[in-house]
Amino acid sequence: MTFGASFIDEPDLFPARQSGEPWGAERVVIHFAGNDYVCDGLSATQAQRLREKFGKLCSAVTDGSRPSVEIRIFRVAAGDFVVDEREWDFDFDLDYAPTAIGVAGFHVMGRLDWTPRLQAALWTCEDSQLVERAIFENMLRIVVAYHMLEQGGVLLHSAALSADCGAHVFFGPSGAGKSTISRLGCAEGRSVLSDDMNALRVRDDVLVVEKLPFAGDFGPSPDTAEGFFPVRGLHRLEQGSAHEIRTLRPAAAVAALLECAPFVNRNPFRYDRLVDVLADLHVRVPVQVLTFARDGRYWEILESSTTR
Amino acid sequence: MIDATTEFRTCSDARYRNIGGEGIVVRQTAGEVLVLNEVGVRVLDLLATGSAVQRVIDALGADYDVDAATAERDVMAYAQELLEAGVIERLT
Repeated sequence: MTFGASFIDEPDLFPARQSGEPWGAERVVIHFAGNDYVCDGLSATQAQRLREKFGKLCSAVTDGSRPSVEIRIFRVAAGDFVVDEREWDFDFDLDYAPTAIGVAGFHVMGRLDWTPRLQAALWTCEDSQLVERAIFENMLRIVVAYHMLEQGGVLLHSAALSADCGAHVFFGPSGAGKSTISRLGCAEGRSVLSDDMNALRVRDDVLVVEKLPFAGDFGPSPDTAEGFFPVRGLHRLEQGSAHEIRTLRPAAAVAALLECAPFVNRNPFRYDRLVDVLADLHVRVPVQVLTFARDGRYWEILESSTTR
Repeated sequence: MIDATTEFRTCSDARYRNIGGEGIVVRQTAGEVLVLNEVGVRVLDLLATGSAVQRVIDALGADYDVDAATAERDVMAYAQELLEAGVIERLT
């Protein structure tokens, strides 16, 4: 099927460059993972909703001390999108080119362009629904995935739980047990950074997990400190009847991580870069397969196999 | 039907990397990832560079201590697996 055909009325008219009519003149800067995401062209309603959602991560200005990505918000007519029986649809299409990515979803079109600096834009017909229907957050996740890759890191579909002086990262596809292990860990007094998306990258030659404002079934964890945590363990999850842990060989480790690197792992123009980053992660903290039962005792095994 | 003269190339959406002597292959359209062992890497390397099946059989026979009949059976079966997985496609 043609890119965007299930979302855009005339896919051939997908924006070829980042221009259009802004919704308004509001700007919200969202700070996390050592970066500023500068959202421009917002209506007053959109800006207010963003501030409510991202809370203390928001400000009106960037001080220029952190890397930043601009995300411009443009208005388009509802008639530009396919009208059918769907009330809503959270899926989206991605279209890859060497220096650009197209995004098409329900009531949204988006672009990431490298000029050579990464910049993003989204076109939507939704005002208040921009945040409530996760249009903005889904676009932000894609932007963060590519921004992290540029910075030598990766956005990983994972749960991260804080441990003494660091955090353990648990990854796997949907259903692998990320939310379950988050609940079990939380019941034992661990703080959950996110049960859905975390960023891994190297800071000062140490692999760290960055807390991101992206949560899954478990919900946000406001009690967890912002910032980054040294990775003490990197675990591919498997559910089983008994606890077991084993270290993966390099190729299997990279393959396991690759499966959980959303948005970038199907991009043919970023494949080599992604594999290089993932191979480096495994060298720094070897990936282990953690088979766990639902009794919460998995932490004892982790403690005995921890990277300090 | 694969025979000794069949030649292959990697499919356009398949990306392949050697990591520590093993290989990972990603079929990006489907989002599938395969891990290959050392022998699998050698076979794919040869097939992907246009070697006919017979040449791969000969190379494996020379590289590893394996008789010709076993090498032929294993290479044929493995090429069929890669073909069905969408990693390689027939050139001839």
